[in-house]
Amino acid sequence: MRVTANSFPMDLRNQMQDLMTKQAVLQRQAATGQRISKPSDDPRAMRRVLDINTEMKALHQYRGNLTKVKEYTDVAYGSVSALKKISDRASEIATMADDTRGPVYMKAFAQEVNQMIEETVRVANGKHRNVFMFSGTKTTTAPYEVTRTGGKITAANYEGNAKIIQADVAEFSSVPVNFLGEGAQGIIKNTTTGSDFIANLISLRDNLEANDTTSIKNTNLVNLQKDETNFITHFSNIGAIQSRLETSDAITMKRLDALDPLVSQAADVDLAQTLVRLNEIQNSYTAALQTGARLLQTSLLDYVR
Amino acid sequence: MPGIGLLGTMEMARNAMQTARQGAEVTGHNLANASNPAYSRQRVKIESAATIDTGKGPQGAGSRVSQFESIRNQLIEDQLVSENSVTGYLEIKQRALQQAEAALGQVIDRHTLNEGGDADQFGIAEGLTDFFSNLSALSASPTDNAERQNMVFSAQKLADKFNTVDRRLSSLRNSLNQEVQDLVDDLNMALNTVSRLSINIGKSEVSEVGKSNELRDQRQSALQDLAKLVNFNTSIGDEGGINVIINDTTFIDDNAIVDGFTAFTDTDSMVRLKSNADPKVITLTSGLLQGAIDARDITIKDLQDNVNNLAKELVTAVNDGYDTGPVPTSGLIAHYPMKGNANEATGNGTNGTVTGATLTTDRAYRAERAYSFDGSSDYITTSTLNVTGSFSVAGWVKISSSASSEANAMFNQGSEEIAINIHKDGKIGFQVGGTDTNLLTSTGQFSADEWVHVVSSWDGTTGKVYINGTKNTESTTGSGSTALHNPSAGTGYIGKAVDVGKWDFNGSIADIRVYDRALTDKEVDQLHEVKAVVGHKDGKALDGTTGQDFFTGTDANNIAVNQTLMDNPSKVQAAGPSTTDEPGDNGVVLGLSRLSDSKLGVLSDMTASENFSYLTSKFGQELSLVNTQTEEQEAVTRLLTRQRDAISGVSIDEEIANLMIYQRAFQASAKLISTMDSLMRDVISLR
Repeated sequence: MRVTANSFPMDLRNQMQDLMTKQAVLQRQAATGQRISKPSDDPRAMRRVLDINTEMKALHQYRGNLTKVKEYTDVAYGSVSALKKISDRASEIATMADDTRGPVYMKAFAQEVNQMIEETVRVANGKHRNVFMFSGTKTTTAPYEVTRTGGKITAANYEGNAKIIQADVAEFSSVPVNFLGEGAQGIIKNTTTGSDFIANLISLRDNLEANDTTSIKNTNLVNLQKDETNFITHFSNIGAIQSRLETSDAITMKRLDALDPLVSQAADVDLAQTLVRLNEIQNSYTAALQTGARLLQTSLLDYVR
Repeated sequence: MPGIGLLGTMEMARNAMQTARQGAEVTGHNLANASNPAYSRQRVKIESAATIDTGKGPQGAGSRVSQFESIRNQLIEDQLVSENSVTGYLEIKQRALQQAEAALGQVIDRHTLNEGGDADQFGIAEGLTDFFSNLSALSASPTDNAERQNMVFSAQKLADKFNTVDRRLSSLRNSLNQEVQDLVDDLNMALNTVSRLSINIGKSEVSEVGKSNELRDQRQSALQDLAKLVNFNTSIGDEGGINVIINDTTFIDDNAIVDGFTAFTDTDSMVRLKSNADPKVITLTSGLLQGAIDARDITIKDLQDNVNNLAKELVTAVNDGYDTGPVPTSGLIAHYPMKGNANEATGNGTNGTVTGATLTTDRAYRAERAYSFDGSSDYITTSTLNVTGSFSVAGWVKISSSASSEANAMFNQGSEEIAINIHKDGKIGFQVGGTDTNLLTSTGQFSADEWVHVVSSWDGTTGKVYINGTKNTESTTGSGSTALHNPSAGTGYIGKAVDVGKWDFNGSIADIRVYDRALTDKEVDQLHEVKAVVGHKDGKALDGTTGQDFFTGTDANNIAVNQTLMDNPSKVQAAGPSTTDEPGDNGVVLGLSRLSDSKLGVLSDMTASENFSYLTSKFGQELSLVNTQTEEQEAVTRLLTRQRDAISGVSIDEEIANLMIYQRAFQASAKLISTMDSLMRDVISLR
């Protein structure tokens, strides 16, 4: 094919344009470490990466929820621990309050139990992050409203409700977020087992004041045992939830670890390979410039006299 | 003496010198135009001059220039012209789509500093995941005002991104509009240039001695410029001039320009082209103009429409709630979702006419999602459903405990041709093919004042009744003497029989669907499993208020978070819709956070994020295709240019060599003249 005055420079120009374009692409890949950054770079890979990123973000959020719920369960566990300590002491007192003690002792015991009632109500009305912990979903209302006579608590009315809310900690997996003071699985008053801690303490105090050791032995001690069982059940429930949360967290972490390489596979560039190719193309570019320059200069005109 | 004689020979030599000089001139002309890309190299065509008849036969009398020949290959020139159209088309389309890709603003950045937190590059994809994440975080502590504020802000960030993308795409379409307008002027000018050059060629070639090569070169260049703008066909006119035809309309007829283009604005405010002489819309297939129009009206419009659809459905789902899928859609001939009205949703049937029935809450306490019937005069008339073979009718009903103890019609076609009746003692009656064909379930299958899902299907042989997703009864015969058989067509009623005052429904009915086939057990279960998720509007704020939308606006252009919520995040209605739900409840916000995993029918059975990544990758594919096509086009154009250049281009070395040939020829002829001159002197000095 004839090579004319224009065709050779045009070819050279096209080759240089191509090489420069390739260099620019490789340099960008090396600088960002990414094979693709825009949808048109590789539409299928882009879609895959976006979908995986969505999943990863959701998994991170599940972990965030997990942490929050773990926090609530820790606080609930602490409250139940405090209540169990009170119940242990109440049982001790109820055991010791037999006919061998005189009225002075009984009065002293009554006073101690009175303080325990106040403490129990305080724990039950506890707040965490400015919401009441044990009133179900009526989180702006204190669970227990007390009535007093002569300064002493004579009754505690439950003002909360029995609604438990759930939070998602994994896809299709949710855990309860709040606890009930009173309900089928209530902490203070469990309507399934019949235990009612505050009412029980009030009854114990009144019986101590009245020196009614029979009722204390036949009723209060029995009921206190029910309360203790309730608290222990709640310990194990909360423990079970926490264990479930930990397992869920571990699984989520594993899933996150598995997803990141998938994104890397789709979007990242092999730096070593890219640098080698960049080097090759730079060499080609330099060679094209040198040879082109030499050929461009000579023509017949240089040799005709 | 025979022959041309001394003087004749001198004349011959003089002519030869002229020929050589002209040869040198043409070489000089070629050299001068060596860098002119539109130039085709020329050659003098040298022929022997007319012979002289001598007694001994014809004798040659030297040479002469017969014509100036332009070396070109018309086939390659024509191919270059048509390829230039494609180049123009792809060039502008690529540029426009690249701008649209930047407008969409969705990139991947692997160097995000905040792992699992806010992305550094913020596109709609990140906006969606952040929004759903924050909804989920809020569901774990619904009364926390800081979380509420966080969530509302992330929603506004998403809304802002939608607004920006839509605004940029609209602006891009407008600037393409402007470009089309400007290109029309260029187009008319290009047509004029071709016409003018053609006329000049005609004038200068009228003597029919040789072609006017320079003008032809210029016209070829003008044709290429025209081709870049539009695709066209050429032909030779009756008088030898050129015709230019675009889309079957002649614009240049035998060199004369007979038509032109005008830009006009259509009903969508988009600029299009029409011809002037006989105004009609011109559709092009290639060139810059069509590239701009296609980019504007097809690819970029699709992108903008898809983004708008996503925003619109997001607003609807968050505000009004959504139904989870999947649901059977094949064979659905009528669907009354009863969402604020009795409209028919598939478009196959007519909208329902409501007589007396009022809107009420559905099974998920969503307001205005079901109709309530008073048991005496309320009903809804559907269209005439021509169900005369297999069919299924599905829906949710809640019969009132104060209903009459006889049949309460859920649905009726014609004169009891199809009748589905609910009884408050917990049984369902299903008539197929008229009275006396009643299939009855046993009593106690459900309770009054409770929502129950009922599906009745007929496959031509067997009638089946499903309650709450499970098959309850099936039979080929009813309790009467006639076997079930295909029904006749007739008007459809929801809430009553055809006859006045008969079987009036007392209670609530929601979501009636009619299929033209018997659904499978699995499909019935699917319909029953649909969860009705409550939207923000039906939720309750911390102070118990309700009724506020979460998003205002209708599409990507105007989506925004309700200003009331922005000003006071405690007004976010996160608690569930039941009247017993307290502020610490998270029913609504939990349901909305699960929108991230829910595939919606209106988003082609994809989740919101999937839908966005799909539309992004679909657009990416269009641009990627154009990129590839542009590269290929570049390769083809280069090849053709090189071929053209090989034939028509000027080679300096070649011209210099030719110059030397003409120089020697000139010298030789000059020598001949001096030789003849000396011979002449010899003759004259004869004594």
